[in-house]
Amino acid sequence: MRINTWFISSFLISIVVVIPILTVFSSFFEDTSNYFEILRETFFLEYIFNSLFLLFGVLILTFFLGVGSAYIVSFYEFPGANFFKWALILSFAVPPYIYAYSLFAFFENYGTAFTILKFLFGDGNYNQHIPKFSGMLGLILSVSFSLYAYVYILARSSFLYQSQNLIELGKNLGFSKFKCFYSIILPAARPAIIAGLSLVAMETLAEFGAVDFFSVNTLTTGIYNAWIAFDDLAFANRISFFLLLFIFILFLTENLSRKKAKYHLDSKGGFKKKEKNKLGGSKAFFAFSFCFALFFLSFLFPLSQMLYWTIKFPENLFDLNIIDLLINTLYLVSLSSLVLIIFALISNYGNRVSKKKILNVMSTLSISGYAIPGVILAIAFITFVAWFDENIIKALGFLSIKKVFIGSVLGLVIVYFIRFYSLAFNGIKSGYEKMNISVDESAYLLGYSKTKTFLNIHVPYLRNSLLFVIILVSLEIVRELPITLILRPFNFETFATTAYISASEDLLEAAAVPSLCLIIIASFFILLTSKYILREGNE
Amino acid sequence: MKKITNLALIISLFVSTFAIAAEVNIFNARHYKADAELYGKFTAKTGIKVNLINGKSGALEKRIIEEGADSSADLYITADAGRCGAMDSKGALQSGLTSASIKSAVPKTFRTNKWVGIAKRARIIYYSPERVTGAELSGMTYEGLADPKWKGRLVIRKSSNIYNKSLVASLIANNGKKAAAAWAEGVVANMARTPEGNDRAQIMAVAAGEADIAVANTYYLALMLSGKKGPEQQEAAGKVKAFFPNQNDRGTHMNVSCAALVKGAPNKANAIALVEYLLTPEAQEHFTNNTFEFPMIDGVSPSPLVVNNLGLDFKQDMKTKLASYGKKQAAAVEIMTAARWK
Amino acid sequence: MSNFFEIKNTTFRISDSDKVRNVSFSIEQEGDIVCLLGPSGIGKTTILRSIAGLEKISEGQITLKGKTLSSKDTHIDPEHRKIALSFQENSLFPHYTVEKNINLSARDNDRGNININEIIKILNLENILNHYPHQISAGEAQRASLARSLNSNPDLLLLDEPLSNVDQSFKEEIQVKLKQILKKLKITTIIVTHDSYEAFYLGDKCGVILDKELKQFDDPYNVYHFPNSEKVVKFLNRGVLIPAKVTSPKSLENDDLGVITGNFVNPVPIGTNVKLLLQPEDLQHDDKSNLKFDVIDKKFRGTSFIYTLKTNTNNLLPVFVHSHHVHQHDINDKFGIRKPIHIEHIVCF
Repeated sequence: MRINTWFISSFLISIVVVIPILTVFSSFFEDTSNYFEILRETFFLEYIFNSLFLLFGVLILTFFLGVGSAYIVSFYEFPGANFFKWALILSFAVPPYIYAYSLFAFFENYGTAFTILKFLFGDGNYNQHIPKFSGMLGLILSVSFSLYAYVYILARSSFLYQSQNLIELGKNLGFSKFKCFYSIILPAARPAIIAGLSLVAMETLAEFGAVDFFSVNTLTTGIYNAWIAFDDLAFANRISFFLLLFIFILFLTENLSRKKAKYHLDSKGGFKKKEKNKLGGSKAFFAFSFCFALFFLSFLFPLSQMLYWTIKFPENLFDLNIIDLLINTLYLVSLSSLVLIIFALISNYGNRVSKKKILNVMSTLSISGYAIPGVILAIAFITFVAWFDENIIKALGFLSIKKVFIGSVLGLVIVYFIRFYSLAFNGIKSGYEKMNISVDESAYLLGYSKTKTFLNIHVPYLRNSLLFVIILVSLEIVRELPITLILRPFNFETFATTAYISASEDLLEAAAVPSLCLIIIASFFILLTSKYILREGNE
Repeated sequence: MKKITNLALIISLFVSTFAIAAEVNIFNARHYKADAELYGKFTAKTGIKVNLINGKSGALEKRIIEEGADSSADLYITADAGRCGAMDSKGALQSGLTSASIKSAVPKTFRTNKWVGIAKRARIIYYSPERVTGAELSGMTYEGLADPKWKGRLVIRKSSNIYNKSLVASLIANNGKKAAAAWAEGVVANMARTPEGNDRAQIMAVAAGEADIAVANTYYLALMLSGKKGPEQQEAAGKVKAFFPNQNDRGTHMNVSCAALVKGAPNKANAIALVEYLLTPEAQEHFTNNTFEFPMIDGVSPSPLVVNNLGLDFKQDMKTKLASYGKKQAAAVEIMTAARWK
Repeated sequence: MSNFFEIKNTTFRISDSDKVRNVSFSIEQEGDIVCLLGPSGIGKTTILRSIAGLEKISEGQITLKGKTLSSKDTHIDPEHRKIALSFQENSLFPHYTVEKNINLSARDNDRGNININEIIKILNLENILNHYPHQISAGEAQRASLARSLNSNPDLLLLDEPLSNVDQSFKEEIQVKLKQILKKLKITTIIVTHDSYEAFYLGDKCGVILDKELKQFDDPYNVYHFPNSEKVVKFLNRGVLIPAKVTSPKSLENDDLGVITGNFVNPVPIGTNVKLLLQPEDLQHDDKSNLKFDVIDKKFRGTSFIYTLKTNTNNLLPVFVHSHHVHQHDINDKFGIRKPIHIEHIVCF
């Protein structure tokens, strides 16, 4: 009977996560009002076009940046190679919206670039000669520099695990270096690269802060606008439907590629520490320059811009109650990771012990929460709670529950939960997958009950995975913007919301301090995880 | 028993406690540092705690509407009359801002029973004195922005911007939808670049030579001149001049920051008290000196920066009711979209 | 007295469409070893898993020490059965060392007679005690897992192909030691294997599972000498079946070999046409005999050669010849067979 308890709890967890997704779909077939019908059609095309343009721009750029840097770092030895190996993932600490603030502020008329030129060369009308990175171009750059590390990490680990034989085979066949890369290394790493690009694609389509800052209308902001400005839930859902369809395809691609990538990783015995090619002279200089430029542009540049502003407008530093923001941020982070970890563990274990198909389907569905933009989730959550409250709670004669869920930490944690559940679930799952099911059975046969197996065998085994998941989730929550923005309680700000609100009120320089704090905290989390992300052995 | 205590402890971790003390809940879409200071003064004076939830207007409005009668919101404070009007038309507001002190402080044009202007701004034209002659500007109106002589010389924000929506709404109210539609097409034809950036970016585009005239709100120039945005922008602001359009007819397009009374407000009396406080000379002076807006009430002078650089004695449009901004908003959006105003 | 362990008319479910039906066998005494033989994929593992309680059964009954473990309505969870199962694949806890793995039983060693150090020594595990499972070979993992199972002091020990990954050179040595331990500790054991020699050596009883059923369950000697069906003969690769006609209660006749005498294991009416099991050791080599056939194949098996002869009616006959035998034959040579032919136990179908 205990199996049923596990089954039911994992089933319930999946249900909670699936609800908002169903909410979005449920109203898809509602009629949209005729009001603005034609107008919306034109918007709709624009949304799609912009989303696609952004998506492809970002994919191309992240592909070159991510694969290029991963290749150089994994196959060659040059001054700084060991530093860049982990320094390149620091870009994760800069969310696209903060990158966008930096990019815009640096290049705007009378911006930081102007100041630098004036400082160097004296007065002059430099504005016309400074390139302007706003709109779509700025957006593509911001998102790419912030997200390329997904591709970098996955491509790098695939490169590292590539069997030496393969490359030696290429050399045997007399391939040139380029040919070796192009026809052996790259195809072998393809599943990993596609998995990385799919993640980038999902994040890009879900991006809110930067898109909003550059006021480019994508499907995601389109949904937000339709919901908010036109009050047209049905139309918003219709766009959501298309977006989700789009994302679902990416999601499947990612899942499939990941499976292949894993197959690739697991092939035992293929791993042999590769001798890296030592580069010298101009080649070493080129490799160094490429990595340094990438590190500079993706991390140092936004960091310095924020630092520069903090120093230039120090009054913002004192106006901000950093301690409060820090406490709020850490409070959210610890509460959410705790909830996520516990439920993801239970659900994973439920999946493991009960072989029911429905559970598998449910958990596949429920991890799609990550693919759904935070904006949509937050709004769907409010809509659902309002509907539930009006139609069920009040109908039963109870007091309204809206306040319990909307504008409370509870609501916030629930939606974070939905959004990041897949992160936690998959993180634990990948740990679990390495453990044969016969391990569990052995434990039972040795006299361990299911609960005892879970607590005494699984949890200790998953310790590292759990730690990794906690830090990953923390990193996401520190950077998270739209959900926090929409659902947070009174007098409750985080670094992300403070930065966003200052920026949206044309107070970019006031956004610098919270942005800087955010980057520092996120960097700290990244450094903590880098050991896991970049591990090289066959652990 | 122990279980119940644990449960209560866990729940208390999630649910923020709602103090029953005297308080007022503001959904705030105006995020000036100065505002927070002002609320602090109000609390010190009255003992009423001010709870803030900051956010962008759209999201805040949505939340108020979704929460419906159970919303904890008392006041919605935002920087455009068009938004208050739109909230009103969605039935999210209630009347109650009818006390004598409010009525006497705020002219009828700038208030309804449900929302009240708390500070004024004008949307005006900025020009480069080097490239625009006095003759060109003479008798300039908003309508004149569509004149082909400005072809390739004009910068203005995107059509999604609420200030533009309200400006166009006022043109529809005055000239009719058809004329406004033709005007919007003319304006789009005159644009020096695809709209981008905020109001300040438009002013800087003129300073940088990208365009000759720009449409932006009054307080931005003062903000730049104040040096709060750094010496470079201070210098840039010196390169542009302000011009108040439509001085010979209805007057310059005015807008307000407004406070709206939310339907079902749990602390209605406190909300009204706060609005009344915001209209006192003390609060109004605070606004003018920090946000560089125009005061809502008589007897308070705008910031010297505004007075010296923008001038004070311009004719305000007192004829067009600000309530019309909300009512004509949909039409304004339609017109701008049809004109392919990005 | 009831049997120590018993399976009665039980159906084991391999998959939705595949089942092993109507299996019955019992282990009378504690400490006996039973080997289940059969080709791979036939469901031997499923039977072990069902006995261990990892799978449920829909028909029949499994009892241990007089207590019903599984039946249509009963299912005792594996953790409450005191049955150990050593899996074929690596099932060691990956995050614990081999030593910790071996000592991880949640049960008390109430028998008190298990000396784990001895087991470790016998199974040659001393050098890998501090290794983690991913650092050891598959054979080592199997032995470690065996040690863990032994150490958990089960009432019934189930071993699934326990030595499949153990090196051939080491295998016989381990088989001997394994049997010694099991016997010494009096651990009742069911071993699943596809290796008939392993089964014959280790088992007190052997079961042969073929075609989704338990074909034969008997002493190894009987299974070897008196296979009860053609399928078992073929599976054990015991010899060939040649057509013959029963001519008397003590003889048959074959077209190629003529009269064959011997004792029928089961009486057959005179005049019946049967298939006679002819094993390599049944025929003797005799150059002087005039019953000669062509050699078509010759296998060197160390102590002996196995010649394959082709008869006039195109039957193939295997014949054992000791390898010290001076006179060797090559392919296409003529090969004489001693007459008269006498087979101690006549097995025919």
